[in-house]
Amino acid sequence: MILQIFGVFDILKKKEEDESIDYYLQRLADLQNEELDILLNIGTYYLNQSDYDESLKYLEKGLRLTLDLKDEELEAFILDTMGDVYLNTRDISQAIEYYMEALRIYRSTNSPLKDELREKIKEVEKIKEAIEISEINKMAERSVPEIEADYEIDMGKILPKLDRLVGMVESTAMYGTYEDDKEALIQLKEAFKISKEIGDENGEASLRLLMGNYAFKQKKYEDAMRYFKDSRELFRRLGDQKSLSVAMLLLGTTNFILGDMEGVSNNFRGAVEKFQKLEDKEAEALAIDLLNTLYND
Amino acid sequence: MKLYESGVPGFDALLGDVGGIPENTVNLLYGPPKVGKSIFCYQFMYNGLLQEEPCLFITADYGLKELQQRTMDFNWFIQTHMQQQNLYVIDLLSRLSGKKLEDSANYKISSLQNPTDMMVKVGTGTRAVFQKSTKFRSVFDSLTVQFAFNPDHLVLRVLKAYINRIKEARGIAIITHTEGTVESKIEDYLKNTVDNVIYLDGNNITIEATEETQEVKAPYTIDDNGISIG
Repeated sequence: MILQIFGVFDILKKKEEDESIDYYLQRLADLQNEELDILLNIGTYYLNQSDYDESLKYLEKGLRLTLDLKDEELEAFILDTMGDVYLNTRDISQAIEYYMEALRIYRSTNSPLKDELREKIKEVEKIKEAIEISEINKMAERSVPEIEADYEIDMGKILPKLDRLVGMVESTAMYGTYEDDKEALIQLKEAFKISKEIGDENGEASLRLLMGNYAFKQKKYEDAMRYFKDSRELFRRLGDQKSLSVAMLLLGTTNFILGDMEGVSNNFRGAVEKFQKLEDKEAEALAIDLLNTLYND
Repeated sequence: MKLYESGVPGFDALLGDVGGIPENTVNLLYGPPKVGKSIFCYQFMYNGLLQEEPCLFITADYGLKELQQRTMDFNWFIQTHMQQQNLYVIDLLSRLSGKKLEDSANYKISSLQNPTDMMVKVGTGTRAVFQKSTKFRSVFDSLTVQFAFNPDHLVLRVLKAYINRIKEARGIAIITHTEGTVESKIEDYLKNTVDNVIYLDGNNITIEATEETQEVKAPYTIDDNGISIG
């Protein structure tokens, strides 16, 4: 009998335990959701107060919590808000990265917010392009004497960038090996003569670009200028926008060496605008990097 | 005048009493696919190599490896001639495969989309084979892929420049082309650019009439020894 009574107690005890653990788990989830809500509100509050560091601090905590809760929709929402914070600090690239990650999640969950975010990204990319163009203009408007005063360009940093640019013109790949030759310029000139003979305009344009790059390396800047100009005109005639932009950047770099700041501005701005139209981010980044190297080193 | 034996049994007799192909002659070999145009070229090249006549061979439809395999099917081994640098190959196709290949003294990689580079290498190659022997041959197999990758007018100008290089050095050449792959007016232009037009249809070989000669036609067969006429 006693044993039977103990058995009943055991059953009752187990039932209470089951009920209590469910209760506690539910409570925990409620509290976590409440905490997330509070963190998000604090983050947004600081964002509105332009206290971006504090805002990011709370949003990051919130982000970690969403990962624990495996709540993808909220994770994307916080990433989106963090993107807003970076946008306010004018760290546009970082903002776009956060937006893109949020968009990726919205897409995977088929959230109705995805279209709105996609539009926002487009707008922000336009802002980014406008800022880059204005930066180029600002840099190029710097006065010549400021640069000339004991200014020495570190060719070790510039030349590999020019080579990378030239390498972006596909048709130069085959001729690139000529530059390894001792008599590179003679080889390039011979090839150029042949390209004219057979009417290979693409070959002519590429070879002029390589000849310019070679002359630049030899510090024959006037020759380089002439070759780059020819190349630019030939690529323009061929309608090859990417190669045309590359020729413009090399021309712009030569303008810089020769102190023609208007030329720098026109060529760099024109090239970057073309890369943007082509949506060639890599080339655009390389152009900006080259310009930064010229002005900041 | 130097004469070149084609190496294709019965072919030289078709040309008349001269007994071979005269120097400074460029021949267009055309016809539908798979009628033996390339085999004719290999036979012509290999026969020259056996007689110490170096050859500048431009491959546009296959790479060097395939050239070696295809010639091997007829027991024509070109490896030794490559080593002796009597065979100079300009390979226009292998680069497309993305393989890492390296040039050597007589093996040059070029590109179908880069006719200027090809012509630079034709210039170097012609000088190289000419230095080996003033009696040399050349093969360009084939123009068909060139037309696929480049505008017609550019291919025609490349062809003209190629012919000029060969004739300046007083060599002979065979250029192959697949019938019907370009407009008929382009094919007419091709025919008018060369000295002899040879047509293969799978059964007969025809040497088309020129201002001085009449059309000649004969049956041909292909077996393990290559092409034979008659």
